[in-house]
Amino acid sequence: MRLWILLKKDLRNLSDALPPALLLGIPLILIIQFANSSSEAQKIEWKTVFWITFFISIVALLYRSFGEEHRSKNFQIYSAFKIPKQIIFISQCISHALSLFIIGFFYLWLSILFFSPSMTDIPSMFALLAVVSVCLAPIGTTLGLALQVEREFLFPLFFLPLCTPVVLAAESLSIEFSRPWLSVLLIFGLVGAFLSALVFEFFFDELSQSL
Amino acid sequence: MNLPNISLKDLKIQLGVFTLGPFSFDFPVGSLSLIRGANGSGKTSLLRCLLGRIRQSAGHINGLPHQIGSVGSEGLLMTSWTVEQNWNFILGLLGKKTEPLPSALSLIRSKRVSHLSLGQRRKAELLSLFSLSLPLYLLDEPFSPLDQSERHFFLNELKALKTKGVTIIMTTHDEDLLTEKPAAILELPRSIQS
Repeated sequence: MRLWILLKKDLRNLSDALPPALLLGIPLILIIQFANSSSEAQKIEWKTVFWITFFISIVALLYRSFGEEHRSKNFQIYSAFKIPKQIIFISQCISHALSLFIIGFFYLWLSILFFSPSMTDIPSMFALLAVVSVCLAPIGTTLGLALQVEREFLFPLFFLPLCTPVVLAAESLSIEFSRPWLSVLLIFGLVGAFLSALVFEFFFDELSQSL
Repeated sequence: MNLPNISLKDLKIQLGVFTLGPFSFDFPVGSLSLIRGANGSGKTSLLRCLLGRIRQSAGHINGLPHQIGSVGSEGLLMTSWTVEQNWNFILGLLGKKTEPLPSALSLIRSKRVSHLSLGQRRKAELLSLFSLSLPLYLLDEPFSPLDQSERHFFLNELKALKTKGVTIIMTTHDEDLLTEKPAAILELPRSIQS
């Protein structure tokens, strides 16, 4: 019940961050398409363009983890009503995973419009997008939270290098199925979720007690 | 059923160079208690410690209920949401089914909290929490942004809460406003900088 209430809260708060994330990638797709070589040998694959756009755009969403609560200075409600931190973490992860999928969904269709790829690849791209969204949500949640205290501008500096294995795995898996890259993706997701859950409480307390 | 008092045993709060305590004190349940002290004496820190927002460096706090209503230095409402959305969120967190918004808030129900004045915001916070009859209220200068008539209105609300057996621990610089003597007064010394 509480998880559902928190999830609704997080989705509502993230809805403000969705438009910037959805707009950020459009110029990127346009520039890459404009600058893309006409020679088939040097042409950037549409799937590569999609993943670059996706990873850059989600920064605009993830760095706002708990941004609304931070602005409203109302973290006290969680301690006043004794809401377990694990529920807060799970709710943020689910809402981020859903939001990442929505952003990816949007850019996938935009890529289809711009690059007219073969439609046979699309279902597997959606499946891969779902896995990548779930893998990135916990680490994005905790990193966004950790950098909320006057350090939001550092988010891309930490996040983009950190998620490089996911970028590489996603790009490689979207071109051809490869068991090692799938392992990289799944191990990143599991280790990332475990470590994020481990340090979440510390950063949550740091942010909420800094008010 | 007799509930135990909210009891502080050898409590010490250390925040940087600021130290409060160690001291012991009992807040009687079902009554209004006052925390008194000069600015910077640690009234807000003590309330935040009771709320679980900061950890004590030594000692114990016993008898705290599971749900606490708190109004004061920190906000209660999401500023980008409307008053009604905040109300439904609070109800949901408390596991209560949909209850009607307090009638005094009906005029501002669809206003975003960020568009409310400080006084209206405080009124919305107090009305929302008071209508839920939680077992304990921690109020940190609750009436400071309110006008005179609203202060009297909420003092009557406090009296009504007390008759329901609710415990209220509050700080105020307007002690003269209180129409009845608090059941307990915790006097904090001037801050000790170690």
